[in-house]
Amino acid sequence: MPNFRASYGHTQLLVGGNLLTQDDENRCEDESGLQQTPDVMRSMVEDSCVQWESDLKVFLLGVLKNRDLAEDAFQKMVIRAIESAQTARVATLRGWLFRIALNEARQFIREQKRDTNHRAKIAEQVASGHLEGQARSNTRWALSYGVVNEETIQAIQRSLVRLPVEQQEVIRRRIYGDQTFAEIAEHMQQPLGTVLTWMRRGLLRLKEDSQLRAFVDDSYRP
Amino acid sequence: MNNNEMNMRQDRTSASQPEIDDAQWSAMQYVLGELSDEQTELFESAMADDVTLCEAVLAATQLTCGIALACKTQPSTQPVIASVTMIAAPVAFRRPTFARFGVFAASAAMVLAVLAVGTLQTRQGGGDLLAIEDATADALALLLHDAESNDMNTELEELVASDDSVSSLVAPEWLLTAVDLDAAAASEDHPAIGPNDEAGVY
Repeated sequence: MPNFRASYGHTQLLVGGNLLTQDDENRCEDESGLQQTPDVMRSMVEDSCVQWESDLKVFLLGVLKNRDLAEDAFQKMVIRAIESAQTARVATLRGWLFRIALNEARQFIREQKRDTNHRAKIAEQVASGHLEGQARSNTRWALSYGVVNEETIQAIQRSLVRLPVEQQEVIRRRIYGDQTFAEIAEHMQQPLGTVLTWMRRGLLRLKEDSQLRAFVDDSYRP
Repeated sequence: MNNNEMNMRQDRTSASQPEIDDAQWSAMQYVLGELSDEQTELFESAMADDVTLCEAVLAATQLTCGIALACKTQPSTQPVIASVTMIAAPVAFRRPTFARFGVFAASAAMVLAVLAVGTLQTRQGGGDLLAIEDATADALALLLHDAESNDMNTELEELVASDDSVSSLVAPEWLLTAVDLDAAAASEDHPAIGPNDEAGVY
């Protein structure tokens, strides 16, 4: 597991017992001043992939909306990252991994669009209501990875009931009920813009909620 | 980094606060699949250039999963909104009770007013006493019908029962005596005694 320490003009990284120093020009050296070998850099990338595995998988889930595809994309991402480890920079390692993950996800999306058979399959899934169940399983998958734990769920429940009722209803219908905003607007007999505003304000208040702030802040790890 | 650079960075940060909110909202719409194909393509291109958008997508996905699980694992089978309604229910249910009490109080006041008018008419006219008593009994019976209290129901039912009995139609002796005295005074056999005639008694 890599440990980071920032010093003036340099970033220090502890990988496999070796203390690495990276300067502003991305030169990576160990304590003896030698530039690191590809093996050390690869080890650093591998450790980082393990450290941020859940974040990267949830990010891929957000892009691909499918946990199986997210799992596959993560595997490909790790391989691609290790292959490109020499181009990594310690200071921007997390963002670098996210970019690789995004590229892999977009590649998956492009392949899906080319695959007409897959489209037909998706259409069948929509017709049979399979996608709705898949969305539920995606959330369970996120739970199994510890992205959201029981404590967080309870905090969200407490925060939700503090919202105005109309904001609760919009959030619940859209995220849990899988209704579109147009459907929600029609059901609540409100203009679409009003419904969107309620959703946005509700989510903003959830993020600003003191009990959820720690949870949200955790997701912005450097 | 010198102080000027730090100040400039802070200024940029504060000035771009709404943009951060917009980015988070766009990320949420992206995760929820609300963006059009063109908007999605643009957003993904922007993500490739700006890692903070990737972090925003991560946060939006986490929040979405958390909300879905929070709604799913609500302690009762009722939705969140139903729970809120139940929490607010005691306040809502107090109003009808209070309103019913108000109606009862208004009815009681009306009955008392009827009684007072009846009493005055009895003193002035001296007649139709039985009719007024019947009207009072009817009003009390109507009031009883609306009243919730069993105790009051019982008491008022007894009162109505006594008013409706045949014995209530028989005038008491003291009333007959009073009527005889009034009649005697009117016939001038016995001159009426006014208040001034009793001035020296005490």
